[in-house]
Amino acid sequence: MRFHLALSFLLLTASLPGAAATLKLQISDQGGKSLADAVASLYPEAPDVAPGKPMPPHDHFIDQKDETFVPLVEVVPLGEVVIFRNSDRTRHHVYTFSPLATPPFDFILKPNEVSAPIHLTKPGVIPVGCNIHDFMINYLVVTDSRWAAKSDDKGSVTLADVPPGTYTVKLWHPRLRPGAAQPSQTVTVAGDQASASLSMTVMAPPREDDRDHY
Amino acid sequence: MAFGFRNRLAVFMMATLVVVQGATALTVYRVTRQALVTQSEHRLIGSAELFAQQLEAVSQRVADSVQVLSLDYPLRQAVASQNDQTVLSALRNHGRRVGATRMQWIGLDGTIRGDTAVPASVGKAFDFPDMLDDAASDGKARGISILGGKAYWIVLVPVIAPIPIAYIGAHIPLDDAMIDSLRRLSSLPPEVVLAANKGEGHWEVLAKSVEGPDVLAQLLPNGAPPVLFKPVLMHQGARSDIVMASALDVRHGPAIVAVVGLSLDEALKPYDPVIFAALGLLLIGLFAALFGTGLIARSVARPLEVLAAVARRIAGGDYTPPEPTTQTDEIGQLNGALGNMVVAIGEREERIRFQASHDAVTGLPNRVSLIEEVDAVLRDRPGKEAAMLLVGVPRLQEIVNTLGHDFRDRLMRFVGERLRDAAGEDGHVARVSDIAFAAWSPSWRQAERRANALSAAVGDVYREGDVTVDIAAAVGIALAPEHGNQAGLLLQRADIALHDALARVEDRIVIYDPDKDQHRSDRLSLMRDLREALEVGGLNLHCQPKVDLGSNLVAGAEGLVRWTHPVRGFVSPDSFIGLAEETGNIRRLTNWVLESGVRQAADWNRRGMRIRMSVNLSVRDLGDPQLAERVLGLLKEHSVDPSDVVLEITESAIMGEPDAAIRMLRNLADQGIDLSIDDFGVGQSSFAYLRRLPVREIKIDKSFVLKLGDSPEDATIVRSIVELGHNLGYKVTAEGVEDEGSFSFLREIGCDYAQGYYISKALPSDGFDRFVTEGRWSARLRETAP
Repeated sequence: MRFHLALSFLLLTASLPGAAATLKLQISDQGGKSLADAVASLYPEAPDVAPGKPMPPHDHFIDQKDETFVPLVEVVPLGEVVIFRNSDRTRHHVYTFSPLATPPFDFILKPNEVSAPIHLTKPGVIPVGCNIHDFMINYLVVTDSRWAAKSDDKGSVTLADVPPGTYTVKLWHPRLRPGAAQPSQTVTVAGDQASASLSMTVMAPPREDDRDHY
Repeated sequence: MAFGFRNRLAVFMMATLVVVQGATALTVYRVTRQALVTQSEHRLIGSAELFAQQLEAVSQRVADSVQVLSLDYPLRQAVASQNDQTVLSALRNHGRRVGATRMQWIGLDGTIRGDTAVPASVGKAFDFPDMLDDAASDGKARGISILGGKAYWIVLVPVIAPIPIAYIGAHIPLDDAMIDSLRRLSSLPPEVVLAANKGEGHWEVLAKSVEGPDVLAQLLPNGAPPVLFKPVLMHQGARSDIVMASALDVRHGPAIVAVVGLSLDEALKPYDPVIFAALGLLLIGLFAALFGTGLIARSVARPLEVLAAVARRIAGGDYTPPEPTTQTDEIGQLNGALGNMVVAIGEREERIRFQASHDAVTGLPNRVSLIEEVDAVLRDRPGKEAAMLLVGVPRLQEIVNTLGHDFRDRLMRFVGERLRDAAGEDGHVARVSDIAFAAWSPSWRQAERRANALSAAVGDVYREGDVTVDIAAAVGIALAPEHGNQAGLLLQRADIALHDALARVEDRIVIYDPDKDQHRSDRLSLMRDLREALEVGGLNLHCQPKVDLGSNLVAGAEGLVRWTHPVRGFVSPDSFIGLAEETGNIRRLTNWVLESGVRQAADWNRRGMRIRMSVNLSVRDLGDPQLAERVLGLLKEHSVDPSDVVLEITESAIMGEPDAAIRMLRNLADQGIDLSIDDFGVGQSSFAYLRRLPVREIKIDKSFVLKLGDSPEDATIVRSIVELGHNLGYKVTAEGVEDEGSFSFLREIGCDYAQGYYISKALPSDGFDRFVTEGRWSARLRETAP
């Protein structure tokens, strides 16, 4: 099965030349349904694009609450730190086999325990699981893009300070078919406001009651 | 009664029972079988559904198991770390747990990374790439596929670490053991088969239940393509199976059907006791029917057999009526009817027997009955002296002639009563013929006394109204054992004696005299010889000359038949003529004499002699209506003048003859033939009677003539007769003239002719010729002669 990305519409406005814009992307699945937790990363086509003001670095806290990693998807700029925190009253396991984590981590958090900071130095998606609760999963999307964000509940991604220019938008979503390549699309930003609607093919969400099986 | 009522009834009832039972059994069998088929079909539909569910459940369970093992952390670790050997060994280990024969490690791109069963497949694409997507999205994928001719569940699950990093494929064979364990876990029918469609109606058996019979496996490859989801009755040889096929959800490869089957015979097996019970019931029913029909048939047939026995008894002459029964049904009616019939038959037979053994007129036992009784008496007392008495009434014929048969019957009844009363108990009085009664005397000594008593009983007069008849009794007696020791013979001999007695005027009790009786067979043979003599010769006509006392010439001759028997020699005419009269041969004899006499007369005529030929007629001849015609024919034939022939009839023969005879004689007289009364004087005729007849001559009986010389009374009688005859216009001839004195006396008194030994005895033809030519007497010559 092939996925495709369809750029349905691109509207560009420019107020000031050389000024950055806010790009709003509306992400939906192949059925037109808004996709939450989709991660969009912008990569300029032209290398001359000014990188703009870098985002201030900060630690990323991943909570383990109600046997769920919160948030599900965390966009982590390259080189930043991720800290796991157990907010449940049960133990949780945190592991990944991803080679992007150097080294791959695998530890147990007692209730209310906070993990050591984990430096993520390779871009890519690092799936994190709990071997105690198989259904617990968390995706650390380590990105080397200056402009990367995940969609909110309405499927909307807002990227600020995007200079005009043409970008490749790389999309990712937890329900991308395993092993499939990340869909990407070109968008052009002009003016201070830009928006685009993007659609991607994902797998159907697992049934809600699956969790009860385990 | 080879196949009697009883057997027929029994056979009918048993046949009915068998037919009804058989039909019932057959119907029950058919209905049961049909119900069983329907039931089996329903059960099969359920079973097929159940099987599908079971398969699904097992498949789910297997898939779950594979999924669970995919979550094994060390396995995930090994997969994530691409540690091939560890992954394979873990897969082998887990594969055993879920019953998989082949475990595969497949990359996210569908390339086989490891294979526990077929290492050569590493690097190749997974066989069922579409399952990858399903597994990715649903967490697992499963399906039935055929690989290498065998059916497998293929289960594919992703390895989550925690996102899918690879897939694990498990091949779980759907083999016989699996089917069987499935079958045993549930209430599936014993026959379950998985078969794949090989195209063109051929089905290949993939797996089958181990325990069940092989029927389905044999059926399917050659059978029609299974009709899906519908029970079908299939037959193979003697056995029948209900089969239902349902298609399995096959992911790849040809269609696979799961076929469940029920042996109808197996299903019918629980009904075997029912069949045996039915057979047993039939057998019991048959015995009951046999017994019952026996009883019923006996109740019907027994009285019939009794009646049949009664009928046989009746046929045998036993007329005891059958015992009356209390039955009021048809049998009872038949019994009653049979009883009435027996009584009626008995009465009728009694009547017939009485009629057969008794005389209708007098009511006395008849001859047959008497013979029986007397024979019985004789048998009881062999050799004892006894006597058979035969009683007759003289002159009975005359009484009949005068007063008729009815009178005779009444007279005989009267006589019979008298005799019966007189004879007593042991008298055995019977009426043995129209004219005679018989009585029995147990001894000789009593015989004559009884005879006298019987005669006296009859009395001498019978009165009936104004009619009074003088009667008498004549008794003939035969003595046993002297005259015979059998009733028949005694009767016959007594009869002879009775005839003798009847002919008498007085002393009418006669004991049989064997000397007087010519033996019957002797007489019969004599008669036979006489007939022969009449036909072939042996008889001779002798002529006794009659001399005219006026002229001393031989003027006539009496033709007398003589018979010289070839063995016996000379036979007395009295005996054989009497015999001929009794046996009805007299007419032939008369004819012979007539012809011979006429011929002789013609001869004399030719030679110029005028000698009248006298021929004797018997009393029997008078009843011959052709006599006149024949006599005239003979005369004409031989050219003899009727006046040359005289017919002689005895006085007693004429008496009482019917008018027809007299008319015949008168006819002859009218033709010119003279009639002569022979033996005149001894009979009871009167001249008054003779006057009615055309008589021209009377011949005085020789008893008067023989002693003419010695007896003045006879001389007076002869003289009177001659005178009287002459006065009436008759010529008178005297017979028995044997001496000169008589001859002279007759001439003196004017008698016309004399005949007797004094002149000559009867002579043969040649002797007569010599007599008239050579002797003292000459023949009268014809006046016309030269």
